[in-house]
Amino acid sequence: MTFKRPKRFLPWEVTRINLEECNLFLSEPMAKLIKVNAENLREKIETDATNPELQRVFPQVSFVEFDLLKEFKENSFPQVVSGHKSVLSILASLSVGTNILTNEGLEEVMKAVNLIRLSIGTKLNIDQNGEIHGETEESFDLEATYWILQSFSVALLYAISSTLANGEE
Amino acid sequence: MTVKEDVLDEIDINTETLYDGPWNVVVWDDPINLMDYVTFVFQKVFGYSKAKAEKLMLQVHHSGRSNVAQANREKAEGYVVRLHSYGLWATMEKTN
Repeated sequence: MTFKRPKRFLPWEVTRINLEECNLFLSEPMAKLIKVNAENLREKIETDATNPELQRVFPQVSFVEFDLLKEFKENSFPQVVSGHKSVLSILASLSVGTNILTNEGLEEVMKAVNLIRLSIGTKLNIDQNGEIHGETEESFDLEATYWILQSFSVALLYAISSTLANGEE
Repeated sequence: MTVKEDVLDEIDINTETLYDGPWNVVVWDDPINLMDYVTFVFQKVFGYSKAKAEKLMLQVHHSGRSNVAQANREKAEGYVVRLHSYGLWATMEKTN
């Protein structure tokens, strides 16, 4: 992976252009980081959506009703799976630099960023307060990358949801 | 079976199909979703005001769960699908 050193470094930024559109700026390293992870997660979902590593990405619909679970798996689960794959494709297709997105487009990006965050949260075994519950089996380098992406995705998620909320007020 | 009984059976079946609920849409406290994000999703999916969405989010956070909506089975299932698309832990259960 090559990286052109910029003159000024702005990792990412979300700005509202008007009531319908926003600009999501992504620096080269951030764009590449989310692209690789969006593609990996999409591939993992494509291969086996029931993989235990995806437990936070695909929660259960009922804890008690077997019939409901069965029916949901047959009818609605495929919708959730294809929705996840679709938003991850959108995220993977973002460019380095400026990305002009409609509110709906930005919301799709937000969903995908959250999916990445959820899957990394499982890998790192952390909760929403940042508390770590046990060791991971990843290498130091890979774990470091996950921590960077985790921090980035949390901040980006806040920025996107507040930008979208501002557009609706 | 008489004709009259046949008709009655049919009415019972239809009533059961029509009256299948209401169902609670339940959102559970999960170890990773962010509070502001959950509030935003409640506003978006249910059209709740920020104050109501925040109240429900806090209920999820402090009590471990919240009944965020009530609807017939089909609609409740639709809500669950939408909440799952945002990565929230949602289930549905019949009201008592």
